Amino acid sequence: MSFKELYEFAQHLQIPVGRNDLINKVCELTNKPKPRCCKEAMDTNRIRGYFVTPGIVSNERLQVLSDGKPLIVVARDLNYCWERFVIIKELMHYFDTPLEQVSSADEFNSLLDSFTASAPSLDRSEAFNSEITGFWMALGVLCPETKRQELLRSHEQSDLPFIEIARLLRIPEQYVPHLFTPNYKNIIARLLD
Amino acid sequence: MTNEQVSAQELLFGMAGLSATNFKMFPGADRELNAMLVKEEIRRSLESLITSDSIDECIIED
Repeated sequence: MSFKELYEFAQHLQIPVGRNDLINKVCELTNKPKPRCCKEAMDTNRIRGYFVTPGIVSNERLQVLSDGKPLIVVARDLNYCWERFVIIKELMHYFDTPLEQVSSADEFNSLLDSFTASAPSLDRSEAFNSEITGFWMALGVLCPETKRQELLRSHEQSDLPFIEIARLLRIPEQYVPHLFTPNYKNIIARLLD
Repeated sequence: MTNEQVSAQELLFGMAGLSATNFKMFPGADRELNAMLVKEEIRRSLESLITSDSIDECIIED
């Protein structure tokens, strides 16, 4: 089971790519249960969402919360496009390797430190790297390559604005330029390797 | 170490918490995030999820 299989599956989907199609395929590929996705009041300046895989839970209320499933929590104030993107990005962590997983307080602190560092570090943890790859994986499956090239041509030749592309894909407008970065195909190639 | 830091970690990884095997996050819009404030958001949301009588599930129809 790998991201490559998910990516190839997504290439045949129509835009806007449906979350349920991706969720079902990821669960099929990883043999893991569907996530429990819920909304909570969070300051979107600080955090837009998070992903938690519960372990063995002894507390009864926590058992009800986890229900034996991975949990994706998104900020309640996110609009539809943001909620879509955050959920799909967090879904990509179903593919995390053991080295990429954050399963202790120390690893959690290290991850937070990586996000909040004033300058990017040359010595990034596997966990933080998986946050970056998760972002690009989400972009890759939310925009099939043939459609991406078509949208790029429309943008370059007909001035199709980023906001319209965002509406077609139902992703946040600020991530549309990332689809058209000259290095995009190389980034995806590395994810598929 | 503040109470907020211990509490977020305990809720996520403690034996009386979720005993999480993986945690990842999607950062907010602020380009200068403060780790303690982010942890407080996580702690508060987890506490809310644990103590509330009903969970606001996302309805995913697409």
